[in-house]
Amino acid sequence: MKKAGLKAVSGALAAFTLVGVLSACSGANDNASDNQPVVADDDPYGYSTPIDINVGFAFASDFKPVTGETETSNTWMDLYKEQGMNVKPMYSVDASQGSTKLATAIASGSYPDVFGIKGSDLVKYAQTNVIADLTDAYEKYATPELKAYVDANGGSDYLASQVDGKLYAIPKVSSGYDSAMVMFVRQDWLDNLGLEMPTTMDELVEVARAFTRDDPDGNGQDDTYGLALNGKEGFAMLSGMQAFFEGYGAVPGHWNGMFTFIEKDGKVIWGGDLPDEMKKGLSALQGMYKEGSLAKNFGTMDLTAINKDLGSGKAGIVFGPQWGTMVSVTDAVKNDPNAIFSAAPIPDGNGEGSSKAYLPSMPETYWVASSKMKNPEALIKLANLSVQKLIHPENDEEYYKYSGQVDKYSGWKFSLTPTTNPMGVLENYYKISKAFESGDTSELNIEQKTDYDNIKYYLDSVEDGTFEEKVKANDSKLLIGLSFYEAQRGMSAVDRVKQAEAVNPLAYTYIPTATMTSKYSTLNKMALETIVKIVYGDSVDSYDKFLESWRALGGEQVTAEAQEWYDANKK
Amino acid sequence: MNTIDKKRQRVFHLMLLLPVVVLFVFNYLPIFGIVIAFQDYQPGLGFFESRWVGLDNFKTLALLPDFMPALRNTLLIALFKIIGNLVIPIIFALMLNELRIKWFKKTVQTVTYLPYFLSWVVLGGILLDFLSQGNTAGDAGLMNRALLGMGLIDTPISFLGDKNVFPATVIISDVWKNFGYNTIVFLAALTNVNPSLYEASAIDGAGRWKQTWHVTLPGITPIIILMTVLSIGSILNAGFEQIFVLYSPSVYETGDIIDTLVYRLGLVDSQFSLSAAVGVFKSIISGILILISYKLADKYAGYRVF
Repeated sequence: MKKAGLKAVSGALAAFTLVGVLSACSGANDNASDNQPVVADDDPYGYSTPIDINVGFAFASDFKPVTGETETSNTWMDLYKEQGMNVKPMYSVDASQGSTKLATAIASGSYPDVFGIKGSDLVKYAQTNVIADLTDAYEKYATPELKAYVDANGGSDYLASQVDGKLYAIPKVSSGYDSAMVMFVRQDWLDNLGLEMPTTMDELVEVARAFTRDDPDGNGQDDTYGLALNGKEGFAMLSGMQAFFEGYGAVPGHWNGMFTFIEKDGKVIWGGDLPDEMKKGLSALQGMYKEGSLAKNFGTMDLTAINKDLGSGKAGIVFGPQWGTMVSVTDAVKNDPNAIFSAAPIPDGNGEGSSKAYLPSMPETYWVASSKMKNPEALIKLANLSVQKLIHPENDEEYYKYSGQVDKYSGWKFSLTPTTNPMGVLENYYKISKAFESGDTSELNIEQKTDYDNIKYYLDSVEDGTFEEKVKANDSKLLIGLSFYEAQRGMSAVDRVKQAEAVNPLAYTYIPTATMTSKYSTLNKMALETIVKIVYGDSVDSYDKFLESWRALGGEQVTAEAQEWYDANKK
Repeated sequence: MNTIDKKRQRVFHLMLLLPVVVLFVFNYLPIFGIVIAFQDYQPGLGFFESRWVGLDNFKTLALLPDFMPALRNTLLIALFKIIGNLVIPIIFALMLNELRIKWFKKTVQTVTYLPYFLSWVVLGGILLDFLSQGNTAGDAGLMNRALLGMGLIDTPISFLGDKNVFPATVIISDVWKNFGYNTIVFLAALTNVNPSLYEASAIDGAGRWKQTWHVTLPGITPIIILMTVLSIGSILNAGFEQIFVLYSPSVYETGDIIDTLVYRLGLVDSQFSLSAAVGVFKSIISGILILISYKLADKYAGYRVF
């Protein structure tokens, strides 16, 4: 019995997502580094007098390096060595064990000197002197390219990497637009029924009703329904319920597991604390459930179930980020070659312009350096190198070598700080669609060219009528092309959201406070439960009662804390 | 005791040493970890430097709005699971025991034993399909179609999405999964009943019912009591895996148990101290329950382990 508690704890430790774990060999009793003078090396990419860096590896079990490369022998390790940084593995564990291993190492006092952690640990580790203050090192060594990377989201990631005004980490930056939710609708069904892509929630309700009642697939059977919604995982990636409320300008949750604080009239509020907007959305959903436009099973539908219904041509409308439906779309086509999805922004629920995509832009990982390290600036140099080779490769050869090439180089996964271009997805979209318009591919880089070729292959197959044949033959190039084509359509919807600035960016872009961490799961569960129950038929007004208890049980406090931070940092 | 015996004893004691050390290292040393239930545990500071907070974590726990419902659901689900997992296998074992066709008995035994080997993760997927309410007409799972076909229900039942049905689904599927295994335990006990007792009772004119009531059941009473005592200790374990794969927000109200709460607190929110406090709380309750049921078993059935 007692072990049960401990198991939960060790399991909890294992849950942290960590990327490359590394360490510079500079412990006080380490002979190798004692022999080396601590030199202030001005080179932003390396050292003239080599230093040792001990690393802990935690690769996922499904990562198979190409033949000839190993953890310690690959293009990245060669590069580090060239730059005077000798990488030496301290340990190598499976990714699922990585966080446990690191946490145990930190608790024992002998831990890697540079490693990746998640946000909730950053403050703790900074304040308990586990990790080093990088403020000066960053100022001195960060290249303009690294600074541009860190500031890609208008500086919010840089701010989120600071504790008590000092920089403690290099954030892994990603664009909020990558997870902006859009709507995918079966275009062939719309065409069959002579309907238009819905732009308001009222139209969406009608389309969903028609998809349910009017036999959109024309097979004479009552075997379709309108909207597939994720009632089991709740605020999920694939068709999470929050997406529907984004159409009303609210957002009651998100799959990243953090409070969805947004700004409204200069005040920070939780995205579900908008009673009018939420209740409007709730009564719409409740109505849809009643008339069968939602899956009857919606309360027990998760990602797998939704993918299944999309893939087998049962559901016609789904929400997701632009990449979210790539799997189900290929399945749907295998089942019915005519299946094609179109994408659009989430419809307006509350008059034109009321739909606002929620943009959570927070770092996924924080790369930090140990406070026991003699050369904490090595982290900055590692990041400089990554940004240079992964985001600004000088030529094709460099791109292949460090980003990866099938059967030749394993690429970016071996980088100790794998920085990817935060705006890459949008840039690729613009470049590729421009190339399709002009037919000129000279502007494309290798990554874009590969995607372009796959999509072109798909479109050509549709044109020359070989599409069905190739689908039956399971032509993988065709299916990849198709899924990227669908993602391009998703991106076009995201682009429309971006152009219209119809967004609700996360207002509290900092590490969760202790209260936020401790209240999150209770409050999130309450919100989820209330919403599902109302959709199932509870009175819509019970949302008011929920909001009251939400505030009383800690919601008020976390909002106040978010406001305090916002006032101090964002005004 | 002569010297040869003593020497042999010494060797046996030496051989015992390794298992004892292993047991100590892996089962007793980790118990030390419960200190974090009384700390504000920070991995960066470790066991020794984290701040002591006394019983604060337990107070927080008691005030958690999710805790009391979770405790109630746990007790309810676990209690019915214990009862079901005792009564059904006993009845089933008695019935199997009466079968005279050997291959049939063996086949039934194997078939009912089978689900025991499937993990809940696999079985959960199967159940989701089997018990599905269906998203479109005619799309319902086998169970609902069978019930509809027999005219027992008018509309498909939402076995996993209706908060009033969910606990029953959980309990029945658990009993179904395990009763084959539990049956084997009771079947083994049945073979230990002295056959001469049956002969004697037959001579006294007892039929099969009387024999079952007066010979068989008293014969396996110690095993029944042992199984009961052992299972009472797990009254706070309502089956994490099963609930976790089957539950959804629509049944949180009646389906959320202590273990799923710990999962959300410990794994999702990384509140180690709080989830450790739940673990300690469970251990204490279970420990007390085991002691009580052990005393009861001793008193009413004369059954002692030690």
